[in-house]
Amino acid sequence: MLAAISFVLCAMSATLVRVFAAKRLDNAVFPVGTFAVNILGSFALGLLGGASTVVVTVIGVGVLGSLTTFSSLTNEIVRRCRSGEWASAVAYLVLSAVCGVAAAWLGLLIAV
Amino acid sequence: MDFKNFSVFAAVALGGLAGALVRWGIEETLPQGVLIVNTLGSALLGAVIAAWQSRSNSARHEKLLTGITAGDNLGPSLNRSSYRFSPRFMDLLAGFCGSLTTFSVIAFTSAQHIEEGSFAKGTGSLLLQFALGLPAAWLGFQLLRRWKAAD
Repeated sequence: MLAAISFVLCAMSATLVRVFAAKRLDNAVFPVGTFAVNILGSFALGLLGGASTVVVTVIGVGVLGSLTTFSSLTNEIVRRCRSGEWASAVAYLVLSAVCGVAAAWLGLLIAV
Repeated sequence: MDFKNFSVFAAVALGGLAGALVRWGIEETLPQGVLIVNTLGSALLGAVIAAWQSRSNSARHEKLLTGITAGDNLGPSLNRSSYRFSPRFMDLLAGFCGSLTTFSVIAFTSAQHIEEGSFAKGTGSLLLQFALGLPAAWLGFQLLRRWKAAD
């Protein structure tokens, strides 16, 4: 019951944090807010280390799953391609992929 | 988009909760669950953005809840009268798509493969997400735009 309530509250607040970061920090040059939550979330999930307890379900799935997003990322890349900003589309994709995996990996290394 | 308005917060938070629950359910039950939610969520958000753009010409330079700038260089906006969803429903969908899809899990899975020594598996799993997610986002946007235009 406690886990269910935490999941509900965590998922809702993580969504608000993500949306707020995107709304405040994303700009035409670089989507700073979305990028930041994605990298931070990846790092934190690495720290959790893929253990399988209730806490990990609540934090990993509820908080970090909702804090990070993939649909904004793909749609922002598509928007850049549509407006012919190919270089920035590729840069955003590559930076997200490389930094995200590196952050998760760093988290994993620290956790071990 | 007025953040002082409580209904916006409520719509985004409820949409986010629904997205997280659906993601959790699919992740737990289906193989490649994350790939499925990420692909579907990308397509759905593409459609939401297209619907948003058709809503009003005055919103052409407004930033969406997702942080994506609506408008600019995306071709002619559709007629205002073709809009049929309430703004609050759009906020709900924006929260839903964002939380339905996730980035931390795919970065983590990729890092885990690399940590285990399989660089090919690590990059491959991440590339597959983008190989499906990007066309899905484009298709969702395009389909709703066509559908609106045909209205």
